Amino acid sequence: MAGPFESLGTPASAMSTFKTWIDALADNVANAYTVRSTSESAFQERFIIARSRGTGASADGGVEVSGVAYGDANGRLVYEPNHPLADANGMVRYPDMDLTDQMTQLMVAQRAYQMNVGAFERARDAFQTALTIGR
Amino acid sequence: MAITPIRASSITPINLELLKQPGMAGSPATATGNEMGASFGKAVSGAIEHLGSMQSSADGLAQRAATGDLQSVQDYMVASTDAQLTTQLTVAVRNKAVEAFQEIMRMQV
Repeated sequence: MAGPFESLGTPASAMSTFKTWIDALADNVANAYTVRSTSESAFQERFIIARSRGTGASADGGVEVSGVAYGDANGRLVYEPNHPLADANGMVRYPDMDLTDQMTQLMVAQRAYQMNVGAFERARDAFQTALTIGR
Repeated sequence: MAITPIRASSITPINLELLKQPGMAGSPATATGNEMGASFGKAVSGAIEHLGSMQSSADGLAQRAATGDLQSVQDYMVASTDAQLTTQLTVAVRNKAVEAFQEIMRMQV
């Protein structure tokens, strides 16, 4: 994104990162009731590892996704003897995550995305007023 | 409907050197005039090249968005905003250059 409007790349990088976060949280919420047998690992909660890139002073500031992390593979053991995947003791594995926590993080990610869209629009409006100088 | 991007090669930059050729007697200022002309021309052609590349990348993303290939919406919106701003900047630079040219032409010899 080189050129005179390079500083617009900072909110753009943040928008990409928060969109990836929303994708990960949506994956968690969609698989909240994915049951596995005790012979396999449970559905692991997805986490995004974000890292700031560059220095804030230069135009290559912003944030990027530097990796993913996975939660507990053991999950919650629940007694459901009638489940087709239940083992000899009647236990199945549920994912070990808190749904209210996931929904709260979804709201945070959405607001963070909107904030960065706002920052992008303010910067764009500032550039446009500069372009009207001397018109 | 395909939008063809502006190609840099078809636009020649305004060069103050050309203004000096038809019988103008100002020789002491020629050296600095040539330098100024060359760097301004380079700046304008550089801006137009950058505009061409921005427009083509925005076109590519627009095509991917239309065919359903685009994963993130903000990529296309950011690229098209950048292309729009660069277009406005290039048009403003061109307007100023033409204004300056007309001022000089209006000078009574």
